[in-house]
Amino acid sequence: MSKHGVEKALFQLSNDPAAVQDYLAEPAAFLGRFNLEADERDLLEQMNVEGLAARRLNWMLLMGAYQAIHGRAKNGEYLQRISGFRSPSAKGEA
Amino acid sequence: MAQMVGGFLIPHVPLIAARPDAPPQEKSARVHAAFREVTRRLAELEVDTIINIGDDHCGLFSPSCVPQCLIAMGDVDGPMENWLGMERRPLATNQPLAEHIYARGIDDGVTWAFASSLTVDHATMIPFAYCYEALAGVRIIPVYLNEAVEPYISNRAARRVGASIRAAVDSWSGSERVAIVGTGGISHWVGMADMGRTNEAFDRGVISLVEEGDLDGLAALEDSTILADGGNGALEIKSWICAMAAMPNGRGRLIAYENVPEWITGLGFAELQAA
Repeated sequence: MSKHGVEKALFQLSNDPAAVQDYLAEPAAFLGRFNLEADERDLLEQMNVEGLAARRLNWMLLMGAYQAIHGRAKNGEYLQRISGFRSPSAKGEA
Repeated sequence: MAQMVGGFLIPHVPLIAARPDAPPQEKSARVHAAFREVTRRLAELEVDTIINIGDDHCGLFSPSCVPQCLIAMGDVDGPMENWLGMERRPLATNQPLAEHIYARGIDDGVTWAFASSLTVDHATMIPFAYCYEALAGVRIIPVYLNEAVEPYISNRAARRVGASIRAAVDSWSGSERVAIVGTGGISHWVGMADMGRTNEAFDRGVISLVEEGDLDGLAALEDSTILADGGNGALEIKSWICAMAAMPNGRGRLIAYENVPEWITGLGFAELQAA
């Protein structure tokens, strides 16, 4: 488990358009730059936000990376995918 | 001598720029009116320098170096986010006073980092665009506290930063009329599954502490409580704590509160008034 390596990759994706281009062109090669375990590479390669969210990563970085890859218009999709992580008190709200 | 003539607590909600039409028009109008009221008071107080307390949102500072508190004391422009729909432009700064605040803080034991050049984010640019820019000749000193990345700045440290800023202004030989503005909050969940949720009861509780001038009560809120009840965005009340510490014994005059889930945030505006 290398939370910091995952967050380093998420930060670059969130803030560097060139990193996003590299990721989209060849994700495995891009992710090879980082100190990641095999399961973390898989989660990032698939941008499996449900799996990444379970790792207790920084939420702003996770959303930022997802938006950078899929576009800000897809934020609803992002929230839907991580909806299993809603707080207990919020689950009962409309 | 320079004087700290005013203090304010305001939001820095980015969606006011990025999605201006999201809330009902009357609600949006009340938020804009609150920003204008702060501008009016800043003008009435003849403020010429504003110390803006904000926080990074995982954009300015990479995981390779996260300052607990940072002061910009040189070249400043913004915003860094193109999605705000705002033109990037330079901001006039008060470099001599910023350098003095930094030096005084180091002597006081504040763990300042500094930026000799900085492209600021919405934590500075929303207050600038909606409050400060209308004030002719006003100069900005951006301060950033770490409220987004664990380990967060402690409330105690945020308070120490505010007290040190106040001591620095009081000891500055210039003639500036300074205001400190704590920005951000109140409840919002950024990037979390609860994003879009607000908690008005939590927000009202925070505002009550501000109105009572109960800095001890505000600073006693545990991060875990703030996260559970107000979301990760509510940690921005550390910026409020910092500003309140620079206005000791002051009470808050509520200017406005608007619960705006369309902008994913409960928005509070207050003026800090001397006792």
